[in-house]
Amino acid sequence: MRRLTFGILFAGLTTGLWAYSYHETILDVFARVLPKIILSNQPSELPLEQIRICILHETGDGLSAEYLSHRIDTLYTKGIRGVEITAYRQRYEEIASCRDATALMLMQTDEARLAEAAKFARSHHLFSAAYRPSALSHGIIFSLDIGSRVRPYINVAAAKESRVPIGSALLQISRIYRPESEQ
Amino acid sequence: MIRNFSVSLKIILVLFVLQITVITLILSQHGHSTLTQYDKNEREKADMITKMLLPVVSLQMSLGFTNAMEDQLNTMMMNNEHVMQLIVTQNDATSIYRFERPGYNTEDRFIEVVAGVPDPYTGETIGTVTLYYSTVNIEQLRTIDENFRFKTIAIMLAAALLFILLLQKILSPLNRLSRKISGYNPDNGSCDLKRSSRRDEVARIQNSVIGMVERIRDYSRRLQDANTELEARVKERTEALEESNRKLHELSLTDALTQLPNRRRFVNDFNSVWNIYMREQKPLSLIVADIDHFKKINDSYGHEVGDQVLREIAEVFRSHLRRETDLAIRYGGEEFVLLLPATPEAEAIECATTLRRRIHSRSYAAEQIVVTVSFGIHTMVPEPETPRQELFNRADQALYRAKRCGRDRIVHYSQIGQPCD
Repeated sequence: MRRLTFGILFAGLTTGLWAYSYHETILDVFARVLPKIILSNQPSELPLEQIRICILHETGDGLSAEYLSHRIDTLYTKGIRGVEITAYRQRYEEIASCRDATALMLMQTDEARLAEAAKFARSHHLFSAAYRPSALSHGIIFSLDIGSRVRPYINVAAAKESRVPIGSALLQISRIYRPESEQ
Repeated sequence: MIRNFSVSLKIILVLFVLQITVITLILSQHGHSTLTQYDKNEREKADMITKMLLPVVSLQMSLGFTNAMEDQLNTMMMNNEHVMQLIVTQNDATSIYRFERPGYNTEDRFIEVVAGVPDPYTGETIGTVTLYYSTVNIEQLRTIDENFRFKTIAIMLAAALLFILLLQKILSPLNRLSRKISGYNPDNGSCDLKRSSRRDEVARIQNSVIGMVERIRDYSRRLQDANTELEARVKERTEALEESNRKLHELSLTDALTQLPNRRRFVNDFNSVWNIYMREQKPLSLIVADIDHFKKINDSYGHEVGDQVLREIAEVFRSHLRRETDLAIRYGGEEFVLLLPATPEAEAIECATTLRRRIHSRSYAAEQIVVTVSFGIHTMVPEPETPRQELFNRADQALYRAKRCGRDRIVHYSQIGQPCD
């Protein structure tokens, strides 16, 4: 019932206002995997007590961001292995307030803001994820490769620049991003 | 052919057979150990592949990218040619990945590794990985190993048989030779050994023994001949020695001049005669005679004439004896003794009287020499309490009395107290 309500609101807002379109299933996948991937890529010498995911979105994407945040909270009510998982949303203009976050989740936006957000994540050594796989070309670390099957999409160079370690098991199951210059 | 092999060559063959047996055993054991180790390695390899899979599988299952596993796992499976089948299932038994190698035959033998998939975040088991690892290579090696073991046993049995055969070939001629040598009896010279035409050491020993037996037989024959001859000689010498001893004994008891028994003979015989007549309680008479003035004969006619007189007087005494038991003795010098067993006093006096008359009836030494003899006689029945020399002493005392009374007369001991007639 709750999913239906969000679905109706999601459809209404995305068609009624100027906003990017989001696929609910993909948002669900992000909600499910993002906390685990963040957790598994944390250095073992810095044990976390809390994972704070800052969801950055455009003004028109607030509901989608809220949906994502709500899904993360719902899925990880008890956290993972004693680590509390919290998600909150901020507009791109308020990116500075994500300074104390563990990771950034970038909803769709223009390239300039993506680049700015990537820069912010690098400077604060934050794990960054983006809804659009193309965001990896701006220095975002993680996205999803949507093809015949869904799998993680990793920008190893960006992770290195952000000093975010990537687990070998994750690398084995992921598609590795290569810049066009290398392809 | 093996009969003609030398013992040393047979021993070398035995050692060679033993060596083959030992080497075969070692190789068999080594092969089996290698196979066991290989089997263990393959099992460890299957476990290791499973452990390598688990982090990837568990992460994907935990993240929900179950459909992303296929390429990754396919690559891993294709790189491990012994993995025949891999099945990943969730807890509800739903299969989310299945790999089956082309040509996979379920009849083949496999190592089955089943491992639970732990959630990397919660540690809970979220699925199961089942891996079938081919052991075809192990089975092939096991078959080879079993064949090798079978051949090893066959070789060992053959080697054991050869070993026994060789030992028998070494020992049986020795045992046979030993039995025949043990059965050799030098007394009858019987020996079953026959000369051997073989060329090994045992045959050489056998032929040497035969030669030795023949030499022993020859030596025995010669020794027996020598022994027979020696025995004959010893017998002859013994007889001669006995004769000599008898003569010597006779000589030792005989007076050389008169050939009458001497004083030693008298002493020997007197004790026996005394004992006999003491048991029989019969009278025993003793006559002691002494040639009167014999010194004058020696001085007047010389010792040779004196000796001749003694020989002739002795002949008179000898010829006068009537019984075998009577004994005439040259007691010493010109003194003679007559021992007359079982002779009473009267007979003894009569004997002495006859003897004196005969001495008077002739002359001596072709010199017309007249010789007189004095006689002392004593007769007694021997008694245990009577000293045996008493007979002689009393006869001697009677002789002394005869000498004192003028010589050439007969005095009996019983007449000593009477005046001379």
